[in-house]
Amino acid sequence: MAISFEIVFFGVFAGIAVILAIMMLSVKSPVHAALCLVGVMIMLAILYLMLHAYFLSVVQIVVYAGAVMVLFLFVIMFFYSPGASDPSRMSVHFTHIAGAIILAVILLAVITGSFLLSGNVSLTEKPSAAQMTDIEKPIAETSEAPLTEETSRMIEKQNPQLVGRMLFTKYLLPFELTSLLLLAAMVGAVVLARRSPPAEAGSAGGDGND
Amino acid sequence: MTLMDIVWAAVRAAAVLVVTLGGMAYLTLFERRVVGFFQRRPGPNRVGWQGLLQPIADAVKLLFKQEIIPRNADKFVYFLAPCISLTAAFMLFAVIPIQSNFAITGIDAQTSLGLIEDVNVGLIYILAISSLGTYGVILAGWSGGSKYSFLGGLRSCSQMISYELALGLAIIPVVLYAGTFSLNGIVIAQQGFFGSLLAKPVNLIALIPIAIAGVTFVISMFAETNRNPFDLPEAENELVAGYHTEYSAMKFAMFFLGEYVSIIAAGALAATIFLGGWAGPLWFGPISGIVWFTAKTMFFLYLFVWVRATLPRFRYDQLMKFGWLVLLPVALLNVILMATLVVFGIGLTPA
Repeated sequence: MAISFEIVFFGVFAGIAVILAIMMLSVKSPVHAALCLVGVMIMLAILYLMLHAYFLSVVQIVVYAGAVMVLFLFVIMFFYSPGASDPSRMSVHFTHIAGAIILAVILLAVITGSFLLSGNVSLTEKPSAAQMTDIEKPIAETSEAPLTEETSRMIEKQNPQLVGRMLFTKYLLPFELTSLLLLAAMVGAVVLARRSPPAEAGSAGGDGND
Repeated sequence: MTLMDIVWAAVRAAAVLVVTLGGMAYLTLFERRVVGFFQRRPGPNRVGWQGLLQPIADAVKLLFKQEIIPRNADKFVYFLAPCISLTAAFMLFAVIPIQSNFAITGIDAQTSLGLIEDVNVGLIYILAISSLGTYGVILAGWSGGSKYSFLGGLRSCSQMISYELALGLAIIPVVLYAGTFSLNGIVIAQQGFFGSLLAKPVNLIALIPIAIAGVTFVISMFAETNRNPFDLPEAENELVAGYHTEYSAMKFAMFFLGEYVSIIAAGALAATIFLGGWAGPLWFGPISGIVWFTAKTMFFLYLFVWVRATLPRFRYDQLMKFGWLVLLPVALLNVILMATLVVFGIGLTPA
């Protein structure tokens, strides 16, 4: 009974996610595509929720569906409004392709780097009992055996603590590298924003539009 | 998870939904009467005794109004936007503890009404859902196909994004103090401040950053819910009605509902995070949790109305400047202050 529920829910949400992902690629309007992407993000968050990764699922919504996507919509809306006719399709320029390739290389490097580096910090070797906190102990003890009810309940409860601890110990370097990437994006945004004429900073949204 | 669990969860959710809807309806009346009181006029007092049936009359009116859909609206998004607004507002209530499942109440966890899910991510969940609520506003502004609603939507969105940062930072000192993201855990951690008779000794040093966080939080909440003095998105003398200019009848009502529900949620949140939620100095049986919680929420709702009746509206650039140059740095410094206190263990309970 318990398993069948989960399978049904997984089927529903994963199915919706796939459909939305296909729609995102196929719809014409960029705003609709962005909306589909938000839908995919939320479905992913629900899947995390089903895996009892509460913290991850909520952060997924905060970061992707919330912050990033709102900004994304912002950008899109400046180029295109529903009353207007078809938007002028952005021509795919050489620089776009080059940028995409560079980005892909960087992302690949980060991913492989994170794997390699976390290998260096002894993924297999267990920390000694003295280094572990009382949160980690029951988890480490049961890492070979299937999780007991009590331990898994504890992991659920201590989810944010565990994620935070991992992020700042085992995965510190990948974490910092990622933040460096974000910093690069931020610098890029500042550079782009500066290129526009120095109008009133606060109300730039309303002015340039009509 | 059995079928019974799901049914039981649904029943609890429905109960919270019904209570919130009723509360929202009477919040409109409460607001109009209180604003009337501030302006030395009676306010709506004709329908029923003291105007108590006014919300029902309003609802009936809104239900039967003509629906007008602009020709160049983006139909799908146009219908979607109010749904997002309303759903996001209601979802906020899922993690707010209305009644305790704490041992001293004598109520066991199974029968506690409000606490739909006590996972250790309550506060981040609140941030996530309130950022989803932004979509309702921005999509409504965009899909109406009118310049006024578009400008209103843009304004509102940039305002909400800006103040969301301050809101998130205002929460962090509380999390640092309580050592948990669970709202119920935060209430329990506050027992020393506003809690029960079993109070721990109050530490004044720890109160300083919490108090600063409280003020920051409430100000950001005003902005998040688009309330006066930050109701720029619907500044009627500039933008007609802002992002919901093109909405009529029931779809307008959904925005209206969403707005008031999120006001209630904001009040309930502030009461939970900063005033100890269901905990109270006097304990009188099983319903006292709900009574304290409601009283504290009502205080914040009154504050909302009070501020609306008192303060003039900000100018848009002032609003953005205030958010980015005052509120955000203050909240950020406050986080550092609290972190310092926690690290050096000055007068704090262990997490």
